[in-house]
Amino acid sequence: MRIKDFVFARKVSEAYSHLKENGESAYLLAGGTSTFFVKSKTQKVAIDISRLPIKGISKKRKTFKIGALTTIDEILNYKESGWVLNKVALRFVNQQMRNISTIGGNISRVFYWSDFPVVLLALDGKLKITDSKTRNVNISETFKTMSAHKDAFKNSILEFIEIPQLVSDMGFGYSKERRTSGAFSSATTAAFVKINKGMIKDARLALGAVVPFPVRLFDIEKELMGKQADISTVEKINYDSLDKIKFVPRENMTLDYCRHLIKVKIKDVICEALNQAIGGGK
Amino acid sequence: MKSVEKMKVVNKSVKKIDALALSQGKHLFTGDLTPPNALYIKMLWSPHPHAKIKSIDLSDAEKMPGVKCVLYHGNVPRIPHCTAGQGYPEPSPYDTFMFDTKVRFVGDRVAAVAAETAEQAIDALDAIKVEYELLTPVFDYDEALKEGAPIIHDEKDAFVPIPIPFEPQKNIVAKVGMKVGDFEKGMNEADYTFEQTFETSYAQHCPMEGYISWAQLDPYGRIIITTSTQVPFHTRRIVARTLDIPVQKLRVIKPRIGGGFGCKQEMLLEDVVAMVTLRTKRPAFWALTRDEVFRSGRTRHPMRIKVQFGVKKNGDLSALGLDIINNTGAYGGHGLTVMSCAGSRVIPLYHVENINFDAKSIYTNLPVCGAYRGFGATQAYFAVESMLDVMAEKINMDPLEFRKRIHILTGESHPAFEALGEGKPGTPMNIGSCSLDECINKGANEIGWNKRTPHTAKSGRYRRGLGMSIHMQGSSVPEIDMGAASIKMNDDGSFNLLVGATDLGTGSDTVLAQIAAEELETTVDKFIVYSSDTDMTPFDVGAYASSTTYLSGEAVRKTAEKVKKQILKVGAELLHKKIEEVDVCDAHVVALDGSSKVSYQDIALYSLYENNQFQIAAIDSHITHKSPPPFAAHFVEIEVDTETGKIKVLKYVAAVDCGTAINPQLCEGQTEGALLNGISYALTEEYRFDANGRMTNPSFSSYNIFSMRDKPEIKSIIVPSYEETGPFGAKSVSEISINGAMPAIANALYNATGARIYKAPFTQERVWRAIQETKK
Amino acid sequence: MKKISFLLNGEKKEFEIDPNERLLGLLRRNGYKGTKYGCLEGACGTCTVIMDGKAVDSCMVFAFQAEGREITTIESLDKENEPHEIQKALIEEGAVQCGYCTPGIVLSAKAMFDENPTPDDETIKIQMDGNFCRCTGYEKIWSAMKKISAKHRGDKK
Repeated sequence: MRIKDFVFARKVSEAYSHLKENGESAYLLAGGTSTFFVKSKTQKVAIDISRLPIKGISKKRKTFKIGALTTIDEILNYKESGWVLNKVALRFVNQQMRNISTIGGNISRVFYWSDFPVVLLALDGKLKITDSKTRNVNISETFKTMSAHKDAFKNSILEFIEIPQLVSDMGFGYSKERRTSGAFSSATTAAFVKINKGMIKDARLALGAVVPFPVRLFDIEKELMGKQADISTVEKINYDSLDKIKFVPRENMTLDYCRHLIKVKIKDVICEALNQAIGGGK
Repeated sequence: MKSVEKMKVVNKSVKKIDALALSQGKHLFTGDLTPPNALYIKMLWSPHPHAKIKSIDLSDAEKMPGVKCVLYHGNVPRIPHCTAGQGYPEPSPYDTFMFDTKVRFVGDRVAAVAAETAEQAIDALDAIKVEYELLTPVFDYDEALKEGAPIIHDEKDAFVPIPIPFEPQKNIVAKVGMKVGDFEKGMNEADYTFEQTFETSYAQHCPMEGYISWAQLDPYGRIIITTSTQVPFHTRRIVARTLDIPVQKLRVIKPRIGGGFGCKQEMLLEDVVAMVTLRTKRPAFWALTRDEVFRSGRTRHPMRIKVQFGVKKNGDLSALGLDIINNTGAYGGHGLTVMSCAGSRVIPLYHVENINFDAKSIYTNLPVCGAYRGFGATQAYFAVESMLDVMAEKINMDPLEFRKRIHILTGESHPAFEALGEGKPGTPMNIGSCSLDECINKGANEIGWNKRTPHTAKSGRYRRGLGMSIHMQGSSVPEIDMGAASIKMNDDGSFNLLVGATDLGTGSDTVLAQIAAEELETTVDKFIVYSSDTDMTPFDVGAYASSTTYLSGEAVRKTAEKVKKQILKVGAELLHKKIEEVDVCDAHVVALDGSSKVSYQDIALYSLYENNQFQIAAIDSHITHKSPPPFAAHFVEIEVDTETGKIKVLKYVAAVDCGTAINPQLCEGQTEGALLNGISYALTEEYRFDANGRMTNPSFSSYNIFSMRDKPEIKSIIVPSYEETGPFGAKSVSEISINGAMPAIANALYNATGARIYKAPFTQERVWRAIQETKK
Repeated sequence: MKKISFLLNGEKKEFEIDPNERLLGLLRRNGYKGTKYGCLEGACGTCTVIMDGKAVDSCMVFAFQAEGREITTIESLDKENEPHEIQKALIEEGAVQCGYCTPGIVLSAKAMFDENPTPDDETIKIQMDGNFCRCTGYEKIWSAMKKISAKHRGDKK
């Protein structure tokens, strides 16, 4: 991809009109780190939206509202109870990339190694998107029509992402298998649980990297719902439903090992989430 | 000879003379010095692993905007040569052409374009039309050696300049062997015998600065090449050959370079930049992008090593057999020497009288292998040191005690020293210095070896283990490699030190200045060091074979000694004393009776301007007559996640005997850098190929080296000894510590889980499978 | 070619740029060659510069993205009479071998210390994880950073 021209947008409405004006040639640029992976030979007009007022994290009553332009570094350093995304940010590539990559950028164009799409699926993230008007959508809705490497929010601006505050009785687990600290993920798993009186009331499990596009593991979630919130439930999980998934083992892993690894990681993240939920949200 | 304790400059951690300028980002590297009007070169690389070029049509490319020159097999001389930087004549096939009518791996040269901008050159590459006749490729050791296998080097004009067993019709680059005693008898005498095959993978050096060169014509029509190289003099010779021009017409300059580790012991870009400059009369610049470095640069030889051992119950080794197949990729430059060192830098470490060493280096249609720190020993130690632990367990001996029992000692010799040279006969040698036992003791103490428990005592998902390995390497290639230095004195008592020796960031400029300063009783800051310029500095083979301190250092010391004699003569004259009545001390010539002294500055002014004027200066050369090994003992503690196979290195200890550490801090730096590279070589670094032999992970995002965050706890311990034949007792230090991690971690894995691993790198899956094997 | 302007090492500068060029190329072709390059894909950190107080890989930033921002390169430290304390510490510890990664390391460290003068041992590793070094094994670079942090902690007394 080649940038043939650039404009700066200071307001969301400005960004949207530049988008409309340039049509197929428009390329929204926040941090810009995913441009490296866009392999087409087309000429684009970059719309630099990095100065839009859609940055920062604010704590609402039960949720966190995250500006799409919030950098991974800001996510790492945000300190508030109920905030779990620092776990994810900590394992994101390296410091220089954390400093300019944005959470919005990470979910706008999904590569197999992308971290936040998997996490936001597990956390049931909600997105505020603006085109001619503003609407709120569930991230799983967006992902239904999205495929890898493609721009998710064509002709619209992603403004905010909303995720739950993990108060007591809620837990989050995250695992990213990688060879070295800066390496891409070869298996990403994320889990969210909510317990009530020692029973699992809600469970969400998402998988990435070993699949062409991040997925929810609904069948395994069903195995957990309504069961005891302890290790025995985890150990009794039936993984047969994984056979339905078309795995893409990375880095020359065999399918056998890939399947085994995913089972271990699913167990690990659910346990991590349960421990947090049982431990009173710490 | 001064004792090390009395030394004033040597054995001190003098700060590198270029450290400040480097930390300030000064314009010191090849790419910082490029003339602004240089043409940019881009290369069309082969997409096929094995093919004939039926036709190339450059007519469209030539007409593209900005294009000033195109090169391909049809418009350059066809001169067989070897790209490996080694002493001439090289123990290597001359099997390479600047551009050939055949391509032999995905990433081989096809045609080059030079244009005003890099983008114009890239666009022009797209306009080159090539017709290939595809040939069957061969990627596998056994396939390559099979009867009727495709012949990768079928060209009539390839040859070997010295007689080495080169059989290209069988895809054999070279064979090396050694027999000592009676191997069969040794195996029969053993109480226990063992046989195991080990395999290692391709790896790349990943210097932060890739390959980069540029050339320009000087006003007299000479070609001046500035390049990131470890071997400026070899490069000059090879470029002269391939361009068919006299050596006199070339100058090769190595400025500061951003790492090499062996990959730049090669003439890789310089022939093309020189040719473009010659044709266009313009400066020409070529820098490989990182993916090109991975695919088309030099790599570490993958090896398959079958090791056989015979051991007696009391711990005596009765036989050692090493059968190695060395994949050298599509061109054979370092094929012979690397596999020779797999034998010569490993076998002599151990007391064993019955030895069989057999090695073959073969061609495949895969990326070209070259020199890489450790140079074959790294791969062989994985096999041999893993088996030492297997044997130790069988005979119920602590692996540490076993190693202490069987390693070579000071004063001893070994037949392998004479039997295994590098294409020529080796050099017999007695070990002049060895503090390996002290290395073992200190390392064991640091890691807490006495807290080691067997794997049977371990349980749970996460298990910890301790492992160790011992090593030797070499210092220089005796009787073959030569280094030289010259020193001249200036008005103010400062000196110019000119050395051919190549500082790749190792700090050799500083270390050599320390040696000169010690000999001349002055300080490092009095030296203006200039190195690696084929016009200005005397000859040196370059930075490889761990030669710079031991070989080039001794050349410097001898030169300084000559200069010292001249200084003493002038000093004596000024002090009205006889030469026996004076000596050098702290940048002065002093009367031994304490009555008077004269400063170096006064001596310089007098000798340059006043009376009996002459330039105080000298030049001297050195060749070594032995290759005294440094020794090392490495220890590692790991934690293994038995459910996924992930290995986490907790602590790594490297205790090294490099004789006198000329600069202890730099010795530690070499040790620490090498050992961390060894760890990632063991755990995370590998080349992955598709079915067509194309390397599929040519990027730092998919070829994984360690960041600071991956670093375990590290302790490097320098254990002194004294090597009489080395400058101020020094041996080498730069290679040895890359050898330890693979065997030490393999041994630690066994100690943690009871699982043995025979294939590297130890990816999660491989470790997990090895653990699964223990459950059967 | 289009014009952009930004603060470069404290001075307002105007540049004519190709929309497609990276900040790395812009800096180097204007003589700021202290910024090196190694991978052109945001992994090795040899091209690190500081942008609005944060360490970034200049190979990953388009030149136009610098518009109106504050960019600091290694050359900014030359203005002082003394080397910066980070440069001094690296030299003292023996953490400079080939030196190719060093300007990037200095700037990443500067961004780190400017924001937090006393990072602990693990924080240093996390903040410096985007600067590869193949020569040193990071050990002496890490000691240098720890020493600076300890010195800052001491100075607070």
